[in-house]
Amino acid sequence: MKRNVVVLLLHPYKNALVPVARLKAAVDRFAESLLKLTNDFPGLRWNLLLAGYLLERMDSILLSKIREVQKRDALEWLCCGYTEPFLGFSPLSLSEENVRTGADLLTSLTGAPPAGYAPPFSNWEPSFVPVLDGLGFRYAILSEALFPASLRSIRSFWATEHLGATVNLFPVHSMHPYAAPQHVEAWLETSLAGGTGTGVKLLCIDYLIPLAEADQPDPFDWLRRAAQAIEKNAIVYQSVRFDECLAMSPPAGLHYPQPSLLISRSDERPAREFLDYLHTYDQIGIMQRRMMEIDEALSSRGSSRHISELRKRLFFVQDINRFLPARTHGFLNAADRAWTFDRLIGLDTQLHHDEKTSGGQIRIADFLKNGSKCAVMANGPLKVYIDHRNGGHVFELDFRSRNINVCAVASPERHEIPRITMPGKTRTAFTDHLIGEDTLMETFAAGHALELGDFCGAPFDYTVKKTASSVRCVLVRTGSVSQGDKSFPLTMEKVFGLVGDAAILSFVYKFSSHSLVSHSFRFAVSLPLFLPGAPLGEAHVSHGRVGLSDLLAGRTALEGLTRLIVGDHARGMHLVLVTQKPVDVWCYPLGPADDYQGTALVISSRVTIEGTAPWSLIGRLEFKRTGVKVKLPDAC
Amino acid sequence: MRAEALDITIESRGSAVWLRLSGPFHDEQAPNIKEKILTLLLDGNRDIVVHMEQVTFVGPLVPSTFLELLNTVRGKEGEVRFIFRNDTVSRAFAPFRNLMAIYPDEQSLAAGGFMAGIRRTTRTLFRRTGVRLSRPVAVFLLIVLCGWFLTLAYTIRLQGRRIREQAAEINRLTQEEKAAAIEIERLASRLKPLEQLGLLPDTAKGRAP
Repeated sequence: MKRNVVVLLLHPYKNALVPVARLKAAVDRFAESLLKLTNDFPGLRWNLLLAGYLLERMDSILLSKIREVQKRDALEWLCCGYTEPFLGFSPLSLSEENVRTGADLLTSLTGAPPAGYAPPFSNWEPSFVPVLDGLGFRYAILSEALFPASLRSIRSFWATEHLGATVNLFPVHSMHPYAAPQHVEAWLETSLAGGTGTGVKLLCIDYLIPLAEADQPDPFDWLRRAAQAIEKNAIVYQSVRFDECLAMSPPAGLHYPQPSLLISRSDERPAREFLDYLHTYDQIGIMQRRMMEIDEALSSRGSSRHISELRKRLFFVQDINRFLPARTHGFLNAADRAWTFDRLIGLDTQLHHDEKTSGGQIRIADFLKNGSKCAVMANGPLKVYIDHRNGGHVFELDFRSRNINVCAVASPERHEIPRITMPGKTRTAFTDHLIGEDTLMETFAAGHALELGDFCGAPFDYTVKKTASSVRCVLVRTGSVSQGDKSFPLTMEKVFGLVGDAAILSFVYKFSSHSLVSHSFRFAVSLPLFLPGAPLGEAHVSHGRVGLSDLLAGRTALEGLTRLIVGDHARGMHLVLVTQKPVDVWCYPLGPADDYQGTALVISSRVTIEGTAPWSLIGRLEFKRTGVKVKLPDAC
Repeated sequence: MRAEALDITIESRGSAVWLRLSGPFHDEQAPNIKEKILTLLLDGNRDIVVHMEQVTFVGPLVPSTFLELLNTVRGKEGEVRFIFRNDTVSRAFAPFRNLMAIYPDEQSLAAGGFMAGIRRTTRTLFRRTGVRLSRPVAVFLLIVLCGWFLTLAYTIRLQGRRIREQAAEINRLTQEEKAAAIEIERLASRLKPLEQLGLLPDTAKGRAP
């Protein structure tokens, strides 16, 4: 009688960023548990999926013992890459390099190339099949959620093909220890009983083992019970490696999975239009475009040891866990987002130093990959990204000396349609509002201020200027302002400039009217700031002796000032706002206290334009480095 | 939009302003680039480098736009230099190669002087003939050529010296002949009266056959 086949895959994973020292201890604990398990059940076969950077951190003695298990054919390695690359969100060449690096590392550390590939979160991309074929993988595993019920019930493995390249596909049942069935034997029997296939039935179990959680119940408990159940019913079940299944029988047929993703590792329903879904969130699109920009820059530098090292650092940014929406990790988590931008800006700054330019650089490119150009101004300490099509706002402002993007403020509101930024909703800097003269801070903060102008989110014309020591971007729009029941034409000109290698972003606003009618309104420029020190109580806003130190819940409205200091001692940054004429500044938190996303700084001023006389506001943001009180942990 | 397909980077390196262009360069983008370069000129920049190696397509009006710009910039005592060697751009700018300063890469722009000229010539000849010499062979051929020239020069020098010696010898003998002729004439004039008196036979006439 033919025995049913059970394939046990051990899949240690982590989602959130973990300090390296703690991660190493967790990996070693896992290795010790694995060795104990394989020694207690020497007759069973095991499969192990481990990212390259985790295997690198395993103790060499433990690794050599695992190799002994592998030598007696009791263990098979699978690979997901050096990290867990997000295939659907990354350039193909970068993903290929990530997976190749992981496979090479596994080969050098284990003595044998990995036999199979496991896309993280079952993020399947058909275009990756030729890459897998080229790298020598014999099979890939995917969550059974990606297979239609009719194919799942056959309980076999399948073949898939793309442009002539083929690879075998194993559907796996993913489970966490806390969701694992209590009665293993009954569950095994039920899972395999319903199969409609006529050949040997196959059940693949992807057992997810959370790393870095030492105080949780031992995840190996269920594995022991499963191993005991299989040994006890050795007449009915046999445990094999994935590779052995390939030799037992041919694939049951062909299956062409569509590009998909599981938002959670053990989801039972795939997200098909996951790209649309992800782009309804803020910040994720900007992070992805930065990653692609750096990948393009690295690819244009050829290949050298230095570039390979930089690319390896980019693999960690490419990790799928940085790009999924979750509370404990991913782009919605402020600390995780700060870490990602820290790495991206660090890489970008390194590339900038290699270029040896001076006096600033201005680039006009389709950075957002949406068909329209952005102006990107950069000098040594600062880099500014300006979207002239959506209100001439600044959607990213990097203080390179501290690897901070001060505009990394996420809005919890999702966009109605997939977009990188949503004018008026996305919290970008230098968003311009023309509101009633008597508008209060609370009204503005609540989003109830009456908008009199049409400049927020509207397209501006732009020109760029470069001298030997400075770069400037001039944005001009002729819009209108409502006064009573009527609208009057109004021209806004705003200029951003960087001078030399100074960490100063200068800005100029100028209003001019072509009609002889006088206009009065309040002009408010919104500057949402991302201050990682705020949740730690290490950030403040101050003007002389007046200030605000509780940025999580406190609000303040300061009037008639020309200088304001925003300090983030955690990250070692001081931001000084200086204006030529007195302005009012409103400061309030964005988001609830337990989910800090940023601090809003609104520069507002009453504007009266009489006749054709222009009105202007000149100011600058000076960035200064101070001592770092809270270093970002070396985490990955 | 086609007009927005081209990426532009403007940066300073030393005293020059570099414009790096990448992507398709359609005719609609030409006025925009012209305006940017004129703005750079107005801002006081005189040394402009246009890097077009990453340009994937060149519209038919683009080279003539750059030619106009070149005239304008040169009129203000500036210079525009180009960097490219890809086929697309090279073909588009081929009719104007002799009017523009075109460099194949950044290194050749940075290097000046005689050696840079040699390298440029090497590349040009290689592209035309397909023949390239390795460095050791080139050095060996150079040594052989120099050897030939040195040998020739030495031979010429030797011959010159010999000619000079012979000329000096001829000169000396000519002088001696003249001096001897004068002496003979003087002695003959002293003996003539004795011959006329018949006291001395003319021995020269006696020995004559």
